[in-house]
Amino acid sequence: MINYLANPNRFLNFIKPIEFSIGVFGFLFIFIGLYLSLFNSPEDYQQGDTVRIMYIHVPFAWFASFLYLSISIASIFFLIWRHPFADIIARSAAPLGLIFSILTILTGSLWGKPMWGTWWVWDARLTSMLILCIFYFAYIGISNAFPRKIDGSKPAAILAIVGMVNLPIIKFSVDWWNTLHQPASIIRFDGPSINQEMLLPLVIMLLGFLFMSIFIILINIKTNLIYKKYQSEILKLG
Amino acid sequence: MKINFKNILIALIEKEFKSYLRSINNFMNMIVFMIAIIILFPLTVGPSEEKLTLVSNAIVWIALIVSIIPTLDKIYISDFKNGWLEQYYYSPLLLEIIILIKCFVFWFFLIIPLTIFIPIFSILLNIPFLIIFWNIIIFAIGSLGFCLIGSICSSLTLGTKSNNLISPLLILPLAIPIFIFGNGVVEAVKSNYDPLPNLYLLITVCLILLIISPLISSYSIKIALTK
Repeated sequence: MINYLANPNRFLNFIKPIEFSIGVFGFLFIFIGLYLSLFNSPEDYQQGDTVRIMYIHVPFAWFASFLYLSISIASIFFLIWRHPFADIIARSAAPLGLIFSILTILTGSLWGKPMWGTWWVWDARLTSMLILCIFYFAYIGISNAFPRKIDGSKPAAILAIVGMVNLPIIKFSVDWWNTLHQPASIIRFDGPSINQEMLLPLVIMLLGFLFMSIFIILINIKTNLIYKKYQSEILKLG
Repeated sequence: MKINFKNILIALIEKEFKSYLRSINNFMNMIVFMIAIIILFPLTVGPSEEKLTLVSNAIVWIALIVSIIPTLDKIYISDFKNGWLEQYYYSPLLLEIIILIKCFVFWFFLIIPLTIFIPIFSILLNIPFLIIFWNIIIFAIGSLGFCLIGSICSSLTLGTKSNNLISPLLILPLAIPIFIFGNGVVEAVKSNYDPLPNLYLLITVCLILLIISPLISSYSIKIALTK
């Protein structure tokens, strides 16, 4: 399956019929999720209405780290099997991940100001998220720093793999250190500790973000493929 | 002539040392930069002693780190430009060993001399003697890790258009464990705890880097050479 889809032309033919519906699904889920989270979910007994920031903050944070994981897995594929398509996938996911990590920090500080009393504290979860953001910057910077764009893909792939160290630190930072950030409440050994009525809109939002980010990454992949084709045409013309 | 490991080693160290002697300008730049930061801090924070004692240790550290970072990403660049790296690549010695030697020489001849300045600056900023002693130890160990991180970053950015913007972005996130554990040692000394656990963690980080860094750097140098 992966071998079959690794060819750009076959991949484009494969996604052509489903691409639009992925986008529609993403819009629908985010729309429903936003409605449920803003109008049809309970207030927190301590935080009141500000808890509703969670419904976008958590998906941003999850997908920022998830996209970094997918970038580094694609980089491993690229370095071992040297397939250029893996590099294109990694490059296409990077800008979206950067935006997600910046928005995580922004929504987090908007939530932190009324709840903790500060926009920012130098605690483990927040700092590791900032480092993820810096890694995204470095990845994008190094993949575009070379005169020929292709030369940047291998150094960037190495950097992506090195930066993977940060991901477990982000996940477990709330358990390893005493932080202001609340501990994990969804992925736990003893099941989610979050209220059922809050969990439903969150899950819908997460699904919406999943479809939406796949949709945007597909658009990016198509753009990058067209750019690559254009460059090779220029080379042919001399 | 017989190829002998010891001869190659001595020749390499000699060559590296001479190249650093010839570019003594860089070293002077580092020192001037450090002194500038040390002077600027009391002027901007304010000369009151209470404020300064809170941040004095951080000032020395920032002065050292900021002055090292611009030279860290230039470990390989001159060798890359005049073709030495290719010769290293084709030499009978493993590229990893040559990278290790280069890092050690860089550390020994360019970074270790800076420890002379720690006591001078510390006296200027009224840091107690015990903390000066620990600072020198932490800096000597942590800067080796710093050089190894710099080796990764400078090998990744070989052949870029301008590597000024990217390399601090690459170096800082990787160097954070060194800052955390180094600061942990100083905090422990300040509050009369045992500083050794944090020191061991710092040494662990440097040892892990000692294994990982030559592998990554040699791989990315090979990539840079085959472009």
